[in-house]
Amino acid sequence: MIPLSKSLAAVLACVIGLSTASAAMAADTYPSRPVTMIVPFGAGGGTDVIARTVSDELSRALGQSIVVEARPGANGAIGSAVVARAVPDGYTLLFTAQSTYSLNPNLMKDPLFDQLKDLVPVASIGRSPWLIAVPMESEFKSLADVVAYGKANPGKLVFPFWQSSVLVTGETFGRMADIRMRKVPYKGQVEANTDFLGGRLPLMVTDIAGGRAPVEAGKMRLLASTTAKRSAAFPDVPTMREQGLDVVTDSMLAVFAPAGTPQPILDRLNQEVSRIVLGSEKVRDRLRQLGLEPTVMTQNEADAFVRSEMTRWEEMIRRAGLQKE
Amino acid sequence: MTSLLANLELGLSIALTFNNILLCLLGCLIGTLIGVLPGIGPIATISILLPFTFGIPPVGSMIMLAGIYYGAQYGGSTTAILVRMPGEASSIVTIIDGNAMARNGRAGAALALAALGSFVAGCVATIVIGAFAEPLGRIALYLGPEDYFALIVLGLVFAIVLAGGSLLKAILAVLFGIVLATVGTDMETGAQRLTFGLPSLLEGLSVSILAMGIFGIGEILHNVENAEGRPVVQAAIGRLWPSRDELRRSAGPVMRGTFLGSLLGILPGSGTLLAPFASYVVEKKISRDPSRFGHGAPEGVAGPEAANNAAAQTCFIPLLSLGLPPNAVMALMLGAMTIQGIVPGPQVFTKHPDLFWGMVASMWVGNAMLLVINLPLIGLWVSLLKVPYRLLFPAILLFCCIGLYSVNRLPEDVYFMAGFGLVGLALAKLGFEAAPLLLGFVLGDSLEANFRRVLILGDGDWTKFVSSPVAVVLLLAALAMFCATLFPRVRKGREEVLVEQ
Repeated sequence: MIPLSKSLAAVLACVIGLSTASAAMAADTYPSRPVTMIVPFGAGGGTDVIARTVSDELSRALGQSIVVEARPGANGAIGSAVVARAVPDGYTLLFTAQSTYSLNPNLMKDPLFDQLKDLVPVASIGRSPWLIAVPMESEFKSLADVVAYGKANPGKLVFPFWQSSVLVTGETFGRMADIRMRKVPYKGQVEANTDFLGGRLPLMVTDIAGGRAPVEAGKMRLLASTTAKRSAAFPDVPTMREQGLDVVTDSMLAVFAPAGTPQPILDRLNQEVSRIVLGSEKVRDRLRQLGLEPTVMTQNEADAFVRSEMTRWEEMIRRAGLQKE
Repeated sequence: MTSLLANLELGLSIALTFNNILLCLLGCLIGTLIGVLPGIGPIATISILLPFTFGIPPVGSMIMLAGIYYGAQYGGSTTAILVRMPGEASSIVTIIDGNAMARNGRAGAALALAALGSFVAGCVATIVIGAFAEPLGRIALYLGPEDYFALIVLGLVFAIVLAGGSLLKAILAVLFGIVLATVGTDMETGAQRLTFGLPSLLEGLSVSILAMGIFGIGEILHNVENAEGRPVVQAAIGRLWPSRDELRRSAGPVMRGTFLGSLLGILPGSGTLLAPFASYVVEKKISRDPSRFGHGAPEGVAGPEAANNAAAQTCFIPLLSLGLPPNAVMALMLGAMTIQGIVPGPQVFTKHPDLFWGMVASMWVGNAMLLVINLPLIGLWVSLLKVPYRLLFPAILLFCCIGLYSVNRLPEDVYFMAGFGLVGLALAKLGFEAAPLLLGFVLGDSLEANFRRVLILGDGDWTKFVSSPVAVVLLLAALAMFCATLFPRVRKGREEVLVEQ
């Protein structure tokens, strides 16, 4: 018996030793085969386009090809779940928007995975602010005008929304300013823009990509941004905070890996991605065109960010009165 | 007028450069191919190809992507006519008379009429874009939710009028389609509706799953079950080209289809899909002998085909003149333009006249190419009919599965298609038609969205539905058409005329 248990122990020790050694080796030789980057939204959309640009540069930096795969469905939950369940070896990564890691877990009754336990952030890419806009010919010249009108005419103001983060932004603004607004559902920003430009909506929440055309055409006036600092694309537009309202609801694009991915691989990826986001002219251009501001974090910062955003959004979603479904 | 000519000259000088001709040809070829292949449509193709166009100059990439889109409208009718399978959702109507023509041995003629009708429509729609883009674009802004609601109600009445057989069954089919459209996440509350807890249903069913399941798979099951009445008639393929009589009959429908398509294409939402239905109903209503419809009337092919092609081109108007894409493909084009650093909107005309006019002119070039690509192919397509059905149907099944799976890579999509194949078979056995169901599905989404929008924007005021003259006219037209269908004598006539064999 003794020899058996001894040999078992030896085998065990060997296995453990090997696996740690192989993990260390894996990190040394990473990546030795193509990496899959999953985008949980439709191909050709904004997130997909940025993912492809970043992956292009990243594959050059890593000396390995990166296959970008669009896996849309369930507002990004399906593609995220694929990565959450993948082998944590650094060969399957997720390129996603804040709605999947801060909103979905708080809005889905039955999320397909545990965001904080099954996925670990690798790096951040950039943030996209929400902006409060009114038609050019509107009598509202400032956010204070909107608030004053809303206070005098409760329930008269109406804003469009097409995704949870827009709804939460509008509702949080209403709550902070203590005004009651009605909300109209739309399929997407384009439909909402049509009714906004047709003069049927007094105000709307827009992102930079959707607002740039009407602003340039002189049809839309921006009153506030929901970022902590002013947006570089519209430096003249004051933030909500500057105007005394604590509304910060911008959206951060980030890269995730399955939990359990070796730390050296996470660190390596974080370094390369951050260098690309700050250094690559092409990536910066593309981010700017789509209305995002390049933002980098260390892996630890990203992890802390994802955790704190989870509770912050949970609070905002609850206050906005959204039910889990 | 002179400025229009000068602009078109500028456009042609850009569209006719060697590179752009090549890109246009490439787009048209890809478009024809994906149009013929069921399942994979322009949305999937353009989104897959989008990243590869970033390296091409903006004009060239837009020329190619546009070519894919209107090229798909040419190709989509091919499978509809030959094997009753809509290659694209917009060719559903073509099935009715196109396939009937094929069964009568006129497959070649039907394909030629579809191509010629599309060509004429494409050429006219190009002029419409060039001459009226700016004023027409504004129409989309002036119409409010109540107008769209009324338009959709009219579209649903079209669906009922269009169907043959029992009136009650037609209404039920439309309603079933609307119910299927509600599957997914409620846009206001986020509640899950009819998803049965399946994550893949959270964003609803896609029209290609439904169209391929109910039309494609259902039809195959039906045919495999009874050897009689297979859509593929191996005997008597007949003359390949349309007769003088068929051409004469088609001229009017093509012009009216082009007009309807150009107008409906501008409207956001379902305009492109509504156009062929509208054209078919109009042709049948004004025909001196409506009894031929459903039995291979060339008008029922030429009109809708012209309409869907015209709409596929005029739907660029709101994108280019306002920066508001009216459908998912145009939204992708908007993405492509943004990436290229072009902000779509009224300023495109002044800031990027080369892009706008180059693209408009390329549509002429592209339509001519498509005619040249498609006419010689007719002989080849028709010879496909000689393939024994036992070999043909597994191939169609395979293409359907691959095409659908390649779009989202969700195995559930393929299961749902198979499931709807059974639904299609059951419906066919019970005497329900698929076309009204599909139109109900396609319009159901906007019906609900606009209904809610009218009430929310109007703060619960029901009179808002009749607050605009456009809405009133459209609703009255729908009511009149519905009553005419209900009126017994007409209904009796309708049942005689429209029963499909």
